[in-house]
Amino acid sequence: MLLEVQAVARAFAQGGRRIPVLEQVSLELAAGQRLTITGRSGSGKSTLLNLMAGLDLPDAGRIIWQVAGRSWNLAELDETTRTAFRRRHLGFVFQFFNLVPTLTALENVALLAELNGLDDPFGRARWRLQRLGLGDREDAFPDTLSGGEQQRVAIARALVHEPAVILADEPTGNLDRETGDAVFAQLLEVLAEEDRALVLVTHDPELAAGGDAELALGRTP
Amino acid sequence: MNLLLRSHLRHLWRDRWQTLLAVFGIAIGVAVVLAVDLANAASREAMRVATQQLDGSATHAITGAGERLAESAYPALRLSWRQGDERFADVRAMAPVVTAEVRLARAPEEGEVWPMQLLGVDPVADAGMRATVPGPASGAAGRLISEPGTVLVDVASLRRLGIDPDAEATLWVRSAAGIRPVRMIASFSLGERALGQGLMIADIATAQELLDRVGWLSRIDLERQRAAPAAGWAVLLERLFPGLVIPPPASDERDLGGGLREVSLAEQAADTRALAASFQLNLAALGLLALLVGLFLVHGALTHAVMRRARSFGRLRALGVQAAEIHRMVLAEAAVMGVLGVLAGLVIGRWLARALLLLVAGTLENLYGQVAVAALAPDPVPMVKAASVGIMATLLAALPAASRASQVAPNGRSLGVQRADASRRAALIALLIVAGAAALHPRLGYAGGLLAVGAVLLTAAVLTPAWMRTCLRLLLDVLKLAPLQVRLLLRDSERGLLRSGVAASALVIAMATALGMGLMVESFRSSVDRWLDARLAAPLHLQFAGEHRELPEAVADLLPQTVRGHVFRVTWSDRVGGQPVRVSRISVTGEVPEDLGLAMVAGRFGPQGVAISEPLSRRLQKSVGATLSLPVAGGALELPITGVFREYGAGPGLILVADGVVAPLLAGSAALELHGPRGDLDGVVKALAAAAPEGARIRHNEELLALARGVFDRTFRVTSVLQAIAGAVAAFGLFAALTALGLERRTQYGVLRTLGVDRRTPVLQNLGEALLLAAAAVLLAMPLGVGVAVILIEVVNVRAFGWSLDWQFPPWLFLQALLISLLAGLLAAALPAWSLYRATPAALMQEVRADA
Repeated sequence: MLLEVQAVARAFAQGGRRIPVLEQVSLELAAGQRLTITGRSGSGKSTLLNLMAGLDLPDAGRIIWQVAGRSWNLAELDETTRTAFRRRHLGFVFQFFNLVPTLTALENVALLAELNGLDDPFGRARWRLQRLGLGDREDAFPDTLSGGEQQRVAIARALVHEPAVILADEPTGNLDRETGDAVFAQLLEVLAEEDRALVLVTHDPELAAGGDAELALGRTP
Repeated sequence: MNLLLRSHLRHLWRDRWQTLLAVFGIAIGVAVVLAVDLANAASREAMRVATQQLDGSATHAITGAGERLAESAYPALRLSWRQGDERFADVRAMAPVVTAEVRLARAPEEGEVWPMQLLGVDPVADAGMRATVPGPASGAAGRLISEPGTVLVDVASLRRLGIDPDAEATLWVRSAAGIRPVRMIASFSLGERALGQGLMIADIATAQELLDRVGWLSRIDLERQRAAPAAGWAVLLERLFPGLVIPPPASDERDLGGGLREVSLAEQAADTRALAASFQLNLAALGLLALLVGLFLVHGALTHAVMRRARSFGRLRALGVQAAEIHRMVLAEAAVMGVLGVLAGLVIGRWLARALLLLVAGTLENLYGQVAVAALAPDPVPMVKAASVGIMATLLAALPAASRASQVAPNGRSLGVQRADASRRAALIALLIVAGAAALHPRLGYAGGLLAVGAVLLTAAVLTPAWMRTCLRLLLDVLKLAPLQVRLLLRDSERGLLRSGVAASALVIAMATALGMGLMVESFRSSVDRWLDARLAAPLHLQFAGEHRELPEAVADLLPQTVRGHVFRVTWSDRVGGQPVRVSRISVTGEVPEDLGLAMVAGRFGPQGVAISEPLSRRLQKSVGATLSLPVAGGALELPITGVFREYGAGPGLILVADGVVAPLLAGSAALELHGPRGDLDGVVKALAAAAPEGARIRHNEELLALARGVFDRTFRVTSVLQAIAGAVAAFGLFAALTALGLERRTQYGVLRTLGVDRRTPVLQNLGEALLLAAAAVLLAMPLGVGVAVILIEVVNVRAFGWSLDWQFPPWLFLQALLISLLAGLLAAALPAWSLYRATPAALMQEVRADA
């Protein structure tokens, strides 16, 4: 199994009270699988994604990744190792693209390859952009790209270092339906070709449909 | 409250740390302006009080050559006045005076002494002229006249010496004439603003005996009907900008015949005031510099606030709010910050003034022999002035931000801001260059030089962001193959210039000033060192007590066996061409350095004419070849100027005249330089000490050099303090800018951390950016600092003090500027970097979502 989330709980303090956001959440994800996490606003979707990425740690439960022939229990890793794990094995696609505004499209994509010490980071980045139909936009800065283009650059960035899984947080939430569908279709196509897993957080029922598994998170109390 | 205003004020509160930094910038600027003003006002008041105590209602004084006149002249003049001599038609009172600086001690051998001005008067003739002199009918006046050796001493001086002011006591007076006892019979108060220097009043006969001047007077004071007071606006202008509007001394010197001249006391005081005002104006300029640096903080903070709220302004515009309303609102925000900053600045300024006063007073005492008051005057004018300057300057600094805010279009984008900024910047630079060049016109004097320095610094400030952008782009071009994180650092730094550029401007101003002042001070130090080394080249110096005309015989007999050469000087005070001077009659014997070791600017010291000091040459506008009218007993000698020599004393101008040119008729303080001692130096000292008359002091040149260098260092202490304040404010500005940038970039760092960038990267990016900015700032500050030094050395010093200096470019000064700048950058970046280091990726991502 690529990922095992076992009885995870997380609560936050607010005004002196502890507000539980996740309680006893468990799930499994196999290599190449597509898991969809749905739920209303405030249901804990992003919190769960943060926990899976090692951005945050659970109050209880375990999150275990099986990648590159070894097991990674995120709760037992220090911050530096969690960062290194994230950098090497996970890819991210955000709702608001979150490209680095002072790097060109090509540089945004190459950044992760370079950080991971991969050979020919710009060649890899160029190939990824061409694959997503952005070969002629590689020198453009993010603020000159359309929303759809920006999200495709973000997808290229998420894939450039060939991670085991992509974590996508409302990847079409900031795009119109038509563009969103097109971008998402491209993402799915690449993932299927390369046999990579996807964890998709969304409240769009159309995107949620068609996944291998779905986790529906409840309302916040 | 207007909802629009409420919304803007809430922004101030929401960004309270940024608001606080801007308020701090205004506060420090206002505080320094106020402190310098208060300290200057206090020292000016000290001068006025000191003059008032000595001169009272006297308006003119009759003096003889060498500022001493025979006592016999007084009855003759008084008789002429009483008989209706038309020269004295408007004279109300006439009184003789004998005065000199002395030192007061409790016992003849006691180490602790207190500087005093001894004022010998005729209590009958002086009646009503000076408030401190007791009326002729009083018991104290009667005792002063009838009991020789009795004096009155001010209460503060007695307390300082630990003497009960209410009981009579025997005290000891040290003067050039030696140590003499006096009987203190009563004390008097000089008022709240006690002077650093005390006052001792005696009958004229007692004063003559104490000073060994029996038969001689210092001057005869006249009280003429006062001229109409100066126009109201001139008085106000002088109070607002002391030093800028010093009236040129009106030369109303009148020759009364028989070697007697009448001079205006106001004119004499104006000479000293003008010199002190030069120094005070320099300080005021440094104070304004601190304000200028502070204003860049305000400008930066408001620009940042406007940029952050572009979307909000766009929404307001879309809802129908006019551009002019937004403009007014941003100015209102600035006004709120201005008021808060001014209030804090006035409080800090009062406190800072107390610290500065001691430094200012010390410097003035070193430079001009003036004394300082212990208390600050409760004068509202400096407070109102500092507050007005603070508010107006804040609004001025806010104008560009207000203009930028009002140009935001309803879609949240700025309209043509870049182009407008670039053309405005070019126009401003052109204007500043023209203004700076115009300020160097000779008619504007040294104040023009300071204005030119201001123009250079403002030009630097306007140029800084463009300079930074050029440097960063150049680096980007050079580092094409560098890792993406390095390129990210460079691009982020360039993008952040809209925020950090203003802070970098402040840093450039502070560093350029520090470097310019540093170069000037080092050039000054080196010139003074060389001048002192030459002037004090003789290993031994002997200062005689009392007044002399000739070298005492016992010493003269001994000299051929003990030294190879000597220079004997007799020095007295006088006035030449309306300027106070010290005249030295010089006799040279044996082997002495050429031109007496003087650093000649032009010509030579010759046996046929006079050599004059450089400041005097500039004040008189006379150089080698011109003729100088030198007062001597019974008339004046027309002598050619054969040489002009360097002189860095700030007192009266110096005139050197060879022994053969003037007859040794005038007495004065006498000194001997001893060159080429024969044999053991200690032996020479012992032999001379035995032969010299009582009270003579023999000093080694090392001792004199150390004394002179100590004075030099104290003189520049106050400027260093003000420089340091401006530098600290600039570093604070950089800190504010980097903190703001750090906040802005938290979302970007949040994404990067999520993608797998480790926590050190944002820290290194922040520190790297600060170092880049600091290095670029210092690179620009270096040539500008040299430019500032050129104006300070070649214009301000020459015009204000008449000093020319040898240029010095010590490499350590440039290295120090670089290191200080880098350190300021590192310190400024440390806190924002630490905050990023501690932030968890989850917290940063939360901010990313909130920001979206």
